[in-house]
Amino acid sequence: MSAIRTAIIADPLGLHARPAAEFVTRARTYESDLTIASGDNSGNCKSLISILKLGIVVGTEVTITATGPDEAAAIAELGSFLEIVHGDDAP
Amino acid sequence: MIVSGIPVSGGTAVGRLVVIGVLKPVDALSSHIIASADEQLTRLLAAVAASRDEIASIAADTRQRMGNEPAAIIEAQLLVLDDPEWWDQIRDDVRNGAEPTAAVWEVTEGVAEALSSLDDPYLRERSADVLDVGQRVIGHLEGRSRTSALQGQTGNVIVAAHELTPTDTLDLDLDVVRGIVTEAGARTSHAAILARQLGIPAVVGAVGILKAASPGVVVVLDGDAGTCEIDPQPRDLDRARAKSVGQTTRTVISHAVTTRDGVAVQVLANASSVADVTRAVAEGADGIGLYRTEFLFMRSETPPDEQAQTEHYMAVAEAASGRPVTFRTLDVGGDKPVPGLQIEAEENPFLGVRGIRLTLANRPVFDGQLRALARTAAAFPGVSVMVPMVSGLEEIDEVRGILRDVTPQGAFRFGAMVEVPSAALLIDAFASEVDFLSVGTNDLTAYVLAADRGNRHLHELYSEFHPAVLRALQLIRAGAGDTPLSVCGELAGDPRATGLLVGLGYRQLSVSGPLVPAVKERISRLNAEEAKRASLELMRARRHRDVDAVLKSMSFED
Repeated sequence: MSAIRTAIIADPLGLHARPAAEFVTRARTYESDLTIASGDNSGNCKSLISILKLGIVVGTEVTITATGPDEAAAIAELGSFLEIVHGDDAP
Repeated sequence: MIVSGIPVSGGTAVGRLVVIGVLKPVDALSSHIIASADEQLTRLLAAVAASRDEIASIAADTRQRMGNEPAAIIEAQLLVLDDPEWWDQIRDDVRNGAEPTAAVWEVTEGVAEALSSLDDPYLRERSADVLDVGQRVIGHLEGRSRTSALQGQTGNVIVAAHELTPTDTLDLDLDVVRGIVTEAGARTSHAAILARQLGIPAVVGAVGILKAASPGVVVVLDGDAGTCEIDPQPRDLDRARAKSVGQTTRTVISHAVTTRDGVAVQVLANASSVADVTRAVAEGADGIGLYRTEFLFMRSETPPDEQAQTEHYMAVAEAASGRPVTFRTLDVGGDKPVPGLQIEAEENPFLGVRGIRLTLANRPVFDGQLRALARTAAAFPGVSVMVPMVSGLEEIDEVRGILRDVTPQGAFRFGAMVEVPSAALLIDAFASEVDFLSVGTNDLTAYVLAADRGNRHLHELYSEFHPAVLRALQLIRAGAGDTPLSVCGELAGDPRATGLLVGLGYRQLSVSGPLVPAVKERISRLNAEEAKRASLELMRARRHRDVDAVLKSMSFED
């Protein structure tokens, strides 16, 4: 069995450096295998490079698939993460 | 010979070229090549472990010096060290007999190339982070460092590189580096961001500079035109030297400065940590014009309690050694979440519950912060407090009401930031009801132009020099009357804006710490009367490009 969730990227900067790193750090806390797919390409949620290579921009619909003991919790957290804006700092 | 690129940080600098080279596997010592795969793997693991420690300590140092956001970018490099697409590949190659330096080089290049072919320019820049990690590991394998060419340099240096990595930029010695030129890069690259923060000129995308110029040659870097002139004629060199004076000065002026015609202008610093404050004082700042308290909140899992906050604010005031300090209450929103504070996801966080709106909705946290600040102010009379994102006097009334309850003995000088257009339009009303005002030009610009500064497609539109923003600044200055008024935000530290702001009548500028010496130096060369005349001339501009044209031709000095 696997758990699947789709999400639309909310951040206007897409999944850029800091949020991508945060996303990967969160993904690595789960035991399940986690993949993220955008169009025909898919990547490993636990690899920052793999996530960056997907070139995910705002408005992209992605699908997260989790397979493992904590799959439901994983897709819930990671899916919600993609649906908020993680802005950059300005004074 | 002149090499052209993209101007990303203004000013002119003259200096000797020092090249930061790439550590390549051709340099690998041959004695390493005959070791067994097991020995090589041990070497590799040691180099990766050393790199991990180093990156973690650079991240910690960056957090102290520059805040959480830049530190998080460095920390992302730790994820690369055990990334399946990088580390697993290198480890397998070395197990199969590859020489570690060559394996790190090849895998890193492959990953960086894949990233740099992405459509999104921001994501493309991330290849620099991967290259940075690769170069660091190779440095440990080979016992060398990228920035070793900079060691022992004195005088004026222009740094050239194919591309500066995020951690290279932290290694630069600010006492000698006067400018940066790179072959690769864009406005969003680390070199560009750092140069703007430090106020030194930078040109990126200067393709061919490394081939055309040899190390040690004198170059003139023009960060406004985007050019780097190699070995210029003596006449051009003199002209460039004259122009560069003051724009790259590092001479600390620790006393208060006046214009040549005797108008006093205070130069304060923006800070986010005790270390920032100490550094600002060393740079000659007349005080702290903006202390951002949110980093204290972002550092811990739960909001710091009143006692912890009081200790932190007292340490800040102590570090300012008698100079005035203006604390800004917690300034966060849906885009900058803070642990332990309820922030709903919003459709439009920049127009949502942020700044004072958020703290008024989280009274226990806000009350605690105000109490801690009042305790600090009782011990340090130079302490003032301002609230961000104010849009109406109702918010001022509400804060005053809270202050009466939580600090009945009367507290501190209380001010408001002017960054929402409604506050600018009501400026006279605000001026009569608060003790001081401070203009946050970054947000003010964004809200006046309805343009997000981070949006790549709006680079042309978002400008603090837009005629509408300049008129807002004029209106605010006129409406504030005798109420003390400062400008914080990037405009205050922009070399092109000093004459303009003084000309408009601003007498307090709060700038990033490292910019304090240059801003003070510029003020002492200004003629306030002349600057006033020039600024009024500038107010006639109707289009953004008119402002640019007038700014270039105009002198605020004679």
